[in-house]
Amino acid sequence: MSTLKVDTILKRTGTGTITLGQSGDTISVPTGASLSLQGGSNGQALTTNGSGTLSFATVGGDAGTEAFSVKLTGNDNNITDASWYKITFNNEVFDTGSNFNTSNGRYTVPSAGKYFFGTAVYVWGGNNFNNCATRLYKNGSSQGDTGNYFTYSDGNHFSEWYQEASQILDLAQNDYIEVYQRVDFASGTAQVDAVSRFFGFKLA
Amino acid sequence: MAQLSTKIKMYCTANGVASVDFQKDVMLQDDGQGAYIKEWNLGIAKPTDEQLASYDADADKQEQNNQVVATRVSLYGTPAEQLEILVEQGLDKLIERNDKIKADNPKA
Repeated sequence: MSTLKVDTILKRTGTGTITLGQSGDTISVPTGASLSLQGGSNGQALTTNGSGTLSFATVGGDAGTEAFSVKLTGNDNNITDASWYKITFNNEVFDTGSNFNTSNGRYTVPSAGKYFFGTAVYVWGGNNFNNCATRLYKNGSSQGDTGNYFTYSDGNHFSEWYQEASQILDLAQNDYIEVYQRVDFASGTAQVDAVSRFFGFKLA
Repeated sequence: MAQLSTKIKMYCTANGVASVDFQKDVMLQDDGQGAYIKEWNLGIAKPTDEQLASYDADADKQEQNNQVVATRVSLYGTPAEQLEILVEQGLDKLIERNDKIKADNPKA
């Protein structure tokens, strides 16, 4: 075995490709030695394009870095009968990316990807409810399959409603998500209790 | 101010539609500035704001009366509770009791 001791390896003429080894060879960097590659930025990793080209890239994107949880400062008694009523969550528990707007109860997606959203809503009033449902809205439109409807078919009424709804959504940048609640009350009023929550995070 | 749903029901009744399904016939939405009609799927014309406003006083009255009835029902008690009064104290006592509840909670 011979040892080649040099400070710099350059292509013989001009620029181009320098090949190390051949098929079946192993090129190793021993323990204690370090391999210094230029380019990339802090936290990035070497990735392959599948065709033999390596480059630095952010692995995993910002998955798991975007998260929020919001609630109400007090009970909301402005809910209107038989309407899909937007709950304006106005109190942040945390909002890592500052993407939740407490003035309009809206979470705006900072980057495209798959997001998990959940909500837990507690509504109460007199013994006067005959329909209740909770839904997530995307860009002002109901994501119907997140809704949950509860109805007494025998005409009786109920006075409290606690519902959780959740969904994973594939979203584009600047899409926005809101929570809407519906209560049909035969008389009196209804309130969205302050314990209600809305939360979410980026999956991928 | 009466609920939009109540005024729509009154408008529909006045125009020959006996009942309104707010999950199919008419979809209401409230984005925080008050309820509005998001979808109108009935055969009769969608009401104007002025038409709906004309029902405001009557709708208010109906909602107040609905609340009065709900209060009365709550005070009357369950059928079992009333049956117990009937058996233990007699029909006259039950009627007297329920009449007082009704008188104490008059409709508008």
